[in-house]
Amino acid sequence: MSGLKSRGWRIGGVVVLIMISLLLPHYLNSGYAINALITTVRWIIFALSFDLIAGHVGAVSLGHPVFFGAGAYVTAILGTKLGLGFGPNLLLAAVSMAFLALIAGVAFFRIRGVTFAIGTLGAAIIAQLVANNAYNLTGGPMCSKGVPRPTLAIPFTERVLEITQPIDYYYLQLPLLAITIVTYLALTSSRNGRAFLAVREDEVRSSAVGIFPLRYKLLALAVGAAIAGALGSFQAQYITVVCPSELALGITNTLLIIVFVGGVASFRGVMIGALIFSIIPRLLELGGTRAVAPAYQQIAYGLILILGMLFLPEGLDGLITRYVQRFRSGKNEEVET
Amino acid sequence: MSLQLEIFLEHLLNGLTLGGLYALVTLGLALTFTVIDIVNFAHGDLFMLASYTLVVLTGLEAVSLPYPVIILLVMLGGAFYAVVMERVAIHPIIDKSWRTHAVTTLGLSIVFQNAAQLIFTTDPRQVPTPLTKTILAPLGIRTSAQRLVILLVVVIVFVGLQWFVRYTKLGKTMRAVSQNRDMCEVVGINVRQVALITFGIGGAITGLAAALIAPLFSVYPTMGSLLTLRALAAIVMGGMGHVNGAIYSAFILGVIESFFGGYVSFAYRSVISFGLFILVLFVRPRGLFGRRIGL
Repeated sequence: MSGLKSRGWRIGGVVVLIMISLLLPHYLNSGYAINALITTVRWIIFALSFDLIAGHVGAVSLGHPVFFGAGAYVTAILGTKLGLGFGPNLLLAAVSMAFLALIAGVAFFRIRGVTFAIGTLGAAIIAQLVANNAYNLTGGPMCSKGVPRPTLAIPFTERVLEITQPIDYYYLQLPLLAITIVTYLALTSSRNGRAFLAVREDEVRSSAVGIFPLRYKLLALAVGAAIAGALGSFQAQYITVVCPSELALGITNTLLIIVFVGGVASFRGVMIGALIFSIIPRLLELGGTRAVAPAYQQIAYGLILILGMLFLPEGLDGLITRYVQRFRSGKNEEVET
Repeated sequence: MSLQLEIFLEHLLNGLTLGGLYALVTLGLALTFTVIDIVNFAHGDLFMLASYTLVVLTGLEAVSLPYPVIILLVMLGGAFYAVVMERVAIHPIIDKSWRTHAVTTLGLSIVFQNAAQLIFTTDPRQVPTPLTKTILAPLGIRTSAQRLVILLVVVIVFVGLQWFVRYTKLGKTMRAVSQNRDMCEVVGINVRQVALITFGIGGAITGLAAALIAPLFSVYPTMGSLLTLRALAAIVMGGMGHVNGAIYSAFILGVIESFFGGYVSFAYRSVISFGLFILVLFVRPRGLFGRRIGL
């Protein structure tokens, strides 16, 4: 009975969320607000892809933005040369990043734990140095400019519409969000999700019960990389410029904050984290009316990260779960008496 | 002496002093890493804070302190920052997993870098000392006295640390803690106190490193990031839990970087050292001089 009821609530909630995400931009009439919305969705996608690797299989990769940045460069360099459209560009970036992840994964998963984190940080710095120095390929600090915007052929006419408005970009990004959420939930539920957690908790024991750790780690890394790569490709076609700063270590910090303060290996936690840490900077700017030195925001982020690790070891998600349980058990007691 | 040999020797000396410089930065981190098994991603930022202390102390108008006194004060400053950091952020999570350590210290790193940016702006500062301008030419190879002093200090600190770890009671305790923390608690060693002291010593060495090395380069808020990674690279290459290995690796990285920068490509010299580090990880996950796997 109650299972059916909660299922009904769930479906209703999902429908409401979909309606909100479809209709919301129509009630925001400034480019600033819609841009903030795009950024929020970007962080949700990015953080979910990061959580697959760092949260579910426990391999804290500090090089995750490399897939995002490299995906953006694939579109800026290769996609532009081949004259690809929006969809094929995303696909090319996703496939090439998944391929890169498989190769890198076979090598990097030879090392574990903290050494893995340090090694991937090294790889991230190498990628950034190369992006900054390979002028012929990436344009170095002068950036890779002139990425074509997505176009839409209007049916039954000869006209081709170039997409320039933020609101249209928002709708272009939504399918990517949907695919990411569905993939994330499909991979982390059922047997596969339990295998992920088993690998995270104890590789030796999980291989003893027939779970081949490398297979699951590679799966998580490749899927996470593909999503990040596609997101990078979208970003390249949205901003039309790709700079080495897309690979900056600051992006890793934000991902860590979203996932570790929100809740590791928890869909709800990552969603909450991504929402909060996309909205906080906007609030600090007072809706674009005030410029805030990024340093203040960064200090706030760092402090939140430290405080979160000290006082919320299970993240905001754990906090919510605890309160919900207390609320429920309180209600049950009332019923009994 | 032929010109080619002279150039070769110059790169070698440069590489050795660069290695000595990396070794000095690595020592403090290697100590805390080995003794209490904490990966500290804010180590380079500790170096940055000590460097700004040097900038402030050298810039004092009222009293012009002599350089040796300044070095001592910066060492004290480094120890102080490290101890505060340990008490406030690391002490409560010392028994948690490495993930918690890594994320917390990354948070510290973000706070330090941006606080420094607010206080000192992003403009790079120069802090020349009398020694940086003194050019010496041993064997006909020109180099600044500051670099030779660094090389000398590395050797002294390294030998001193060996003696300390082997023959003093505190040093023996630190070794015991690095080998088996639980057993140490059983026999009544205050592990938390040892952790604090280790951080203090590491901080003092890092302060010394900053006081000697910062005059050769410029001081800016984000200078720590690359230094942290270089130190971590040397530690991992040397094999975790092996301070000496980390020092040898720092010298190897310095020499290779100097030769690559001199003969092949200056722009990619950091790429080659980090690339080498990752290659070593793949070929020998236990590190070049490693005995056991870290985690």
